[in-house]
Amino acid sequence: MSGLEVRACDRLRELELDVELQVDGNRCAAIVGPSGAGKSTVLRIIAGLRRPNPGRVVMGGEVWLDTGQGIDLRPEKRACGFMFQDYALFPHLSAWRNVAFGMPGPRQDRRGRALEQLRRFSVERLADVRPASLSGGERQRVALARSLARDPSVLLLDEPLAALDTRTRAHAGRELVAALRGTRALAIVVTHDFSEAAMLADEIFVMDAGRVVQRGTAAELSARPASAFVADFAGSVVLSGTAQPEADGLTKVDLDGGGVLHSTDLIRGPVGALVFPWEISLEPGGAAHESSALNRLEVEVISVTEIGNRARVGLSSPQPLVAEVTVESNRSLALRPGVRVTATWKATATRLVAR
Amino acid sequence: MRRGAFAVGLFLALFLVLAFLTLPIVAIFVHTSPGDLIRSLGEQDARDALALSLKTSLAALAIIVIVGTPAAYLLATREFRGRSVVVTLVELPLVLPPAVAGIALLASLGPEGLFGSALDDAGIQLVLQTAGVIVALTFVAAPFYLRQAQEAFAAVDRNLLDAARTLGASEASAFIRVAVPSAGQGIASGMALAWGRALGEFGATLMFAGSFPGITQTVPLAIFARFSDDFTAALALSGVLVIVSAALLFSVKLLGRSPILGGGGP
Repeated sequence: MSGLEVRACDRLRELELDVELQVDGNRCAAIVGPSGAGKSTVLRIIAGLRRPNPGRVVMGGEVWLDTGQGIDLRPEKRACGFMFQDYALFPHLSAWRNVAFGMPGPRQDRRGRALEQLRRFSVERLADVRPASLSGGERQRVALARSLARDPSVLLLDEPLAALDTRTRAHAGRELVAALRGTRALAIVVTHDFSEAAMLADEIFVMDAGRVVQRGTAAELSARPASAFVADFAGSVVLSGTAQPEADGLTKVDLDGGGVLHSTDLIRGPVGALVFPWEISLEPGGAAHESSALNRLEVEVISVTEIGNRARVGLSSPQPLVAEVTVESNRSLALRPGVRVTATWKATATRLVAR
Repeated sequence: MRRGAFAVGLFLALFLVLAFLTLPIVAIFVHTSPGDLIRSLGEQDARDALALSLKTSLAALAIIVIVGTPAAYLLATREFRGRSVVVTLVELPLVLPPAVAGIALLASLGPEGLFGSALDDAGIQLVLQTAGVIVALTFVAAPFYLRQAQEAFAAVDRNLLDAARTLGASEASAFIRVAVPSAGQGIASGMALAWGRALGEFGATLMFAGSFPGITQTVPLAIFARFSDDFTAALALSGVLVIVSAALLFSVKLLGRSPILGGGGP
C-alpha cells in the first residue's frame, strides 16, 4: 500500500492534539491552520522527533510507529526528509557539506553527488559558502537540496516560505511547486497561509486547536467550508484552468469544465486562478452587462451561509466557487440553492499561479 | 554633552579595570629581567615544577573534557527531576575555598577518608603522589568547564540536532557532528578557564598532595617554596607561569575560532 497514514493523540501544554491524516501516493498535502494549532507537531510526530501516545504512523505499508505494538522507528531510520522553518542549516559546515551530511555511500564521491544535488536547485556556485553568508532564498534552496539528498519517501516542509521576504516568496513558491512535482517523495507542507497551501498542495487539511476540522482541495474548502472557521480561513477561491496570454495584454484562462476568465497576470499553461470571495459580485441571472468587471460567469447557487452581516454563497460554475455578499444583497437577490445568478469580478482581482 | 560625559565615564571605568588587573602582572616583568627568566629555567627544580604543572593540568583537563562534555550535554538538553539540584551540586566547588577543597579531598579519598581503605585495597595511592595532584586539579577546575560547556550546549538550536537526526544521524552522532562543533566557542572558552584554574591551583594541591619537588610540587607550590628565602627566584618563576598561561589561553581561544570547532572562518 502506498501513501502515508497518521493517527496521533498528544498533549502539548494547553493543546490536546488528536489527528488523523491520510495522504495517497506521491501527492502533496498541506496542513494549514493558525499558529498553535499543532501543525508542526504533526510533522515532528511523522519524523519521529516526537512520540505521541497513542499513535500510529504507516508509510507505504511500513510501520514507523505503533505505540500499541511497541514499534517506534528512530528518526534516522525513517525515510523522511525534513525542511525546518528556519532551515536549520549546520552553521559550521559549507553548503555542500550540509547537503552531504546524510548522504549514504562512499565518502570520496560525496562532494560530487552533493554538487549535483545543489545544481538541481541552481545553487552549485555556493557549494563552499557557509550558511551565515547565504541570503534567505539561497538558504531555502540549500535546505531543500539537503532534505532531498537521502532520497526520502516523505518530504516534510515546515513553513517553507515563512522565513523569506515578500519579494522572494512569490518566486521561491513557484520554484518549490516545480521541485515538489519533480520529486518522487510524498510531500507534506505546513503553512498558516491558505493561498500558499492552495498553490503547493493537491489536498489540504485544515487544523484548528489540535484537530483536523476539514480536508479537501483548495476549491472544495473555499466553496463548501464545513464551518465558519474554515470559511474564514480558506479566504480565496481557486479555479483551475489553462492560461494563454492574448494580444490585448491580458491573460485568458479557459476553465476546466467550461467558462472563461481574464487576469492581468501574465502566465501560460495550467494555472490556478485565485480570487477573494469578497471581490465577487452577484447579479440576477441574465442581467445586462453594465459594470467594468471583465469576468462574468453564469453560476448556480448551491449553499448560503450567513456569518454576522455577511453571507457566504457557495456557487457552481461548474467548478466550485464562493462569493461573499452583504446580508442585504443576499435577501434582495433571494439567493437559495438552485437559483441561477451571474458572478462578476475584475481581471485585476484575479491572481494566476502555475499548477 | 551629557552623552559625551557618559562615554568618558565608561572609558574611565574600563581604564581603571585594565590598570588594576594588568599592573601587578606588569610589575612582575619590571622586576624580572629576561636573563632572570632564563636563569630560573636553568634550575632543575624549576624545570621539574613546570613540567609537572603542564603534565598534571593537561591530564586533569583531559579527564574533565572527556567526562564533562557528555555530562554537560545531558544537563543542557534533557529535562529531568532534580536537574537544578544536580546543576547546583556540580557548581559547588566554584565557591569552596581551596583549603576546604583540600580538607574535603583528604576526608573522602585520603588514607583515613571515606574511600581511603577501598582505594588502598585497589592499590591506588593518591596522597603525596602525582595522581593526587591530578585529582585536586580536576576537582577545582571541572566546574569551570562544566558551566561553560553546559551554557554553550543549551544555546545550540535544537532544530539543528533534530535536522541531524532526520538526515540519518544517531543521537550520539548528532552530538559529535553537530552539537560539539556548534558549541565549539563555548567549549573552548570553558577549556581555557578550566586549564587556567588548574595551572594556578595551590591550596587544595598543597593540602591533599603536599609539596615534593618533582612529585607534587607544581609551579605555584614552587613559587611559594622560594618566596620566603629567594624573592627574585619566586618572581622569575611567576613570570614564567604568566607567559605559559597567557600562551595557553590564546591558543585555546584561537582553537575556538578555527573551523574545527565551528567558529568563524569562511
